[in-house]
Amino acid sequence: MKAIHHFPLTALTTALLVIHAPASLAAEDEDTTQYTKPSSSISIGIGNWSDDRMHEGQYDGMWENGTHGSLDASVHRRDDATGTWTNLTVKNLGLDTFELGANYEKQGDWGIGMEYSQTPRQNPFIVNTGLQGIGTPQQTVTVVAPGAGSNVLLDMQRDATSLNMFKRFSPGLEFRVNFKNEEKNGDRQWGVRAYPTLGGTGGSYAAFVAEPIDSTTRQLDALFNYTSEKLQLTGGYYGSWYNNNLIRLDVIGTAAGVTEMSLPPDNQAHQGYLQGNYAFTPTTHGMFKVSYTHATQNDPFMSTTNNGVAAWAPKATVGSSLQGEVNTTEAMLGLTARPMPNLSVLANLRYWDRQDDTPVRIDATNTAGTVDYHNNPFQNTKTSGKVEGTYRLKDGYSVTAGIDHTHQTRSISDLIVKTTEIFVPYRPEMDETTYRINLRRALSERLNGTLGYSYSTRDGSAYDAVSTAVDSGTITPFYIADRDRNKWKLALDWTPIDALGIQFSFSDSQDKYPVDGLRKDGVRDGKAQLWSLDANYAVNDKWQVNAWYSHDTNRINQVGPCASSGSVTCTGTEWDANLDDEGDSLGLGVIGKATSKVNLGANLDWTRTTSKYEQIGGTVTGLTPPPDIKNRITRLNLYGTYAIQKNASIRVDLIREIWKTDDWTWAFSDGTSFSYATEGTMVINDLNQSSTFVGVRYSYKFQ
Amino acid sequence: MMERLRWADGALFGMPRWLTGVALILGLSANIPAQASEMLASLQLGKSDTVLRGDARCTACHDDSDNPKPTMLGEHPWVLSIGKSKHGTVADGRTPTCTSCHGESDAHMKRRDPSIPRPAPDRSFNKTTPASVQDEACTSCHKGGNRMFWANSTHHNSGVACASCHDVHNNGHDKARGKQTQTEVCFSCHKDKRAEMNRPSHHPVKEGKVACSDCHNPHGSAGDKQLKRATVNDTCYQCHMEKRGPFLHNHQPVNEDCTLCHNPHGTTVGSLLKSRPPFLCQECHNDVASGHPGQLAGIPAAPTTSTGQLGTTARGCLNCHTSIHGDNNPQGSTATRRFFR
Repeated sequence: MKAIHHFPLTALTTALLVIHAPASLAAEDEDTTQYTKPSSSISIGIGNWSDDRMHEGQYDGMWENGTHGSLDASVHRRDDATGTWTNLTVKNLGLDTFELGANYEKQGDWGIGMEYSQTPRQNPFIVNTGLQGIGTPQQTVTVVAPGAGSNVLLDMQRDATSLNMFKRFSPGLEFRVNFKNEEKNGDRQWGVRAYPTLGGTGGSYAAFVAEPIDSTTRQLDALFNYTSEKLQLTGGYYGSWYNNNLIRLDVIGTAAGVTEMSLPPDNQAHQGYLQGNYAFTPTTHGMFKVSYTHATQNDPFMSTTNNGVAAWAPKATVGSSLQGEVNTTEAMLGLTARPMPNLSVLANLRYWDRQDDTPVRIDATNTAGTVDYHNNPFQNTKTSGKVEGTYRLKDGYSVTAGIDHTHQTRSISDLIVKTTEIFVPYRPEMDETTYRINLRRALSERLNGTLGYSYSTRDGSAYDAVSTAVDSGTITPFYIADRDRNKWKLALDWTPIDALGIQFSFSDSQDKYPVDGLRKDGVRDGKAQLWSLDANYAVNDKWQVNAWYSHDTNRINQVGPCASSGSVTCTGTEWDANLDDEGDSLGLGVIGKATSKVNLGANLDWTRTTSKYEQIGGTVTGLTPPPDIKNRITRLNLYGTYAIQKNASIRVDLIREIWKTDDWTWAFSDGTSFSYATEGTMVINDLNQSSTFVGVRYSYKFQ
Repeated sequence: MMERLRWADGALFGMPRWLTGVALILGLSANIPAQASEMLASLQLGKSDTVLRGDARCTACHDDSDNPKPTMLGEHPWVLSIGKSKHGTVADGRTPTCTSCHGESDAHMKRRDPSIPRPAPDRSFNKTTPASVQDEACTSCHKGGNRMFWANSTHHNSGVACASCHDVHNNGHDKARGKQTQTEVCFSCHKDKRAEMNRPSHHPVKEGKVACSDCHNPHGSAGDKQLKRATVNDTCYQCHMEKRGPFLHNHQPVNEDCTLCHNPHGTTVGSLLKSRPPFLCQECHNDVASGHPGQLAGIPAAPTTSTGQLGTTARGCLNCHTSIHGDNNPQGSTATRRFFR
């Protein structure tokens, strides 16, 4: 901050000002402009990755080794007289992650804009296969010896284009509209269970196929915002459409016949909504929202012809399309108030009702003609409420206490004949109540933080009765099971000296799932714990370092019956699995100004995860118990920027990236790559991927 | 430069908007140019102002040598850079001046005794100022729209102020609003999400293609978890609409909540699965004394067609139950009802 000097305006100084003022003021204007007017920049960079990085490069468009170049630009112009902006943003031009944005806006009046964005997704595995027709909806299985097929790399890409516009009609009323069109194309690693078309008579007979993806998603959001001193309202329409250009995938097997796989059907939804906030007083607000959504799915069922093989005839009662219809109603009321200077209260009530009004479609009947098989439209409602109060004590302390309650109902179709059909035995009613209390200290320059505890308990009505004639009792969803949850949370923000900031956080959540009637097995206990330490230190006014470390644990204990299946024999009665996921993450960063023209920096990110699958109780023959899995990611980035001139610089980056895993997902027990027994497709996962990047980027700033 | 007269600006002339419109249409607005000039004058900088209307009392000291963050290595000066942002668009009559947010700050301005520290402005945006006091400066203008539920939001009720996340002086580059930089802001509190985003299976957030605000509205919403849409599923359908159905054969947890099986912030299992098949599936499909749903996990030694040996490796249960999100196949068989095709 400059000092203010008071001195008498003498004749001499007056004369000097008269002589020099115009020039010096002009220079000052020019000087000031660089700080006060929108600035633009353009940069172009080129770099080289030394090796493929199929895992870490899944989404960044640079998974393949070699040279990559990109251009970025950020151009902002403002007509100060009218307040009109012209903005152009280009990012990653030259890569598969290209983004383009442009808008023209008279601030506070009207504006139009567009955005375009590419998002790639590279499948991180090499698929060696004999499958023919990848990328098309007719794929022919060809048997090859494992590893003797062709290497295939699967990828997908999203191309999203958005158009938006706003117009402000008066100080309190505006209209906004946004339309987004997204094309999704590519191939997804998929699979098929295809006996007898693969020559089998039982078992899994799984094979590899690649799901062809060629679809379009559209979303339109049009709304009016009204704002006055006390009332805020938003009302609008949100429409969304999914269009799949492919209706089915025909898998032509090695034996006679074709396995026809349905692909996601077209569907659409239309939503109208109104939400508002009214300020009864400056500190008392009432809020509401109502919405109604009408969603349909009437895509014609896949046709009955299939590549010259005898056509099949769907049951007449299934119709030509599902004519699916789901109607959802949402209503919410909220109130916040400050009845006393030191007391704030909040209350919410929300109702959500999803009615699946799809007609019942009978698609099959059992051989005896006694049981019809059909879809099962479900009806769900959820009513939740919250009451919370915060009382402010002395010295920046405050206490918040609250109660949350949720009531859910689920009902299934009355057409289900529970004595003959398999169905999910739901609990028609569920309740969950959470009690929570939180102590907070704020407003201190040195030490702030929170300590919170919550307890929640969930239970429900009796499960739907099941018949022993069918296996409905085999499905007991964990998310409707009784549950007790205890949760602690501590967060501290400590600034011992101005240059040093330290943050510590700890959270612990423990779940218990008691046996509740029908449900005997499944999840019993759950635990999630995290602690984290962050520090930021300003060495001086030129150098700054930061570091963080976190450790998290997620554990589940679940129990199941010891079941024999196929060639696998289990000789116990019940198994007990302890699943443990642990993660350690570390970040280190330094940034500094080495000279007036040189800035230097370094970032290190390191993550290690360990997943354990301890399963005890049964003795199984034919399989190797799943070993632990370790994933490690290390990324070191050293960079430096040299200012060639005031508005131009060169940045050099050196990145060393190491990805290591012993993930056995796509492997056999001896570590060799997994392959399908039916047709020989092998999936190869490169367990160690290291790559080095060297890049240089030139940046130029202008106004 | 003469600004085009806007319908919306009619109120500034002291007459109802409809009357302004009528006057314009009838050509009876001969006196309007003079009033418009006055209005335009109010939308321009004063002679002594540097960046905002009426900022002279502040920029006399807070000039281009000013930088209140001594360790900041980015661009400065901090105060003047507000001119690069939308707040600095003087022609928009809604934009503030310094004192609109910081208060008149007479004590700060009029310190006469250099031996005592200068009092802070009336309203500072730091951790010693209550969030409610800070937010008054912002919410007096920024209300309605997607900030409708701010007073009801978890952030607001946890003492998070607007300025805890937003930085209006940062050279027009507010980290909270940048897709590539937003996580720096969110992760400063949400450490668990930072750890999860570093998992091998994650949305492309750290790659800068998806931002926290693509799913969440940090200013509050009517639903859970400050989600942009009413439910978890409605939020996921924004990008994964192929899962919406309804299907001829629905998998009920898919209709209820995607997060029953997936953790959108990152996991160690492919496809953001929270647990690995068969364990994931056995959380619901468990109570069976015979048949494969209750089978033990394990890895086969060699290629196999055994159902019992293919429940863990490769796609696990999904080796066969491939259409697990729902199946619209009308062929009417066990295969379709069990999501095989």
